[in-house]
Amino acid sequence: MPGPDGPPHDLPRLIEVLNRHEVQYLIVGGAAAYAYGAERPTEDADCVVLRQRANLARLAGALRELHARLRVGRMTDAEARALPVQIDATLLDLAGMSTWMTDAGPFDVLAGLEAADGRLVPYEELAERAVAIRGDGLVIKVAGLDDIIVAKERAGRLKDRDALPELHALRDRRRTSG
Amino acid sequence: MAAEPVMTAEEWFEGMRHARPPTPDDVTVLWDGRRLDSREAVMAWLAEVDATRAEEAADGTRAGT
Repeated sequence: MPGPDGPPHDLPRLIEVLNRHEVQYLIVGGAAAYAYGAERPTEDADCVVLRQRANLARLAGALRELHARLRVGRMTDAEARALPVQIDATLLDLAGMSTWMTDAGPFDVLAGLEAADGRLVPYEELAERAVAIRGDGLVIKVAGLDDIIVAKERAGRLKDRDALPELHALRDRRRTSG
Repeated sequence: MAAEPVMTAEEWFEGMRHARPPTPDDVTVLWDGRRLDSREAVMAWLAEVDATRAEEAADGTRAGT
């Protein structure tokens, strides 16, 4: 079965394009956990976006600039490029969670993060607890560590469960030192 | 006290360069739980998206009259 091939992660380019298109987003998942000091390698650059129509239109513009194509499990990147996918706000609105391959590597768009009670926590709420990675004139919003941990606890996948002890330790260390 | 990132953007970019590629089961999941894990599933969904666009266009036309 073909796997999801394609370009490797090029986050400087991905972030530059998202920021230039003024997309409101924040980084979540393993990429965000890495920013807090997690050492487990992650697979994806996951983000949660503000799901207002105008923001989805800006995201669509960024994805088109990056020649985004859907990642489809049983298709190669070359085959996925040939799919007649017209990226616009309507398409992004109808996809709950969309997985893309872009010229800047893989990129996943989530509707939100799951809370302890199973509710989907949207961008607006996550942004209140988000923090920033800074450098070289860039500000990159990252979901709060507690939100990341709860989402991984709820996801229940093996790779998420495996990541939890380290994330709990990072949180506990912070509480102890704070 | 909320946890804060422990690295700069440049350090984060560098570390993420070594991220593994996604796995084949990491695919788009629609609001109703359908997984776009085959060409057939994608094409069926794209037809639904086109139908929604047509409805939106019709609504826009009606609103403008």
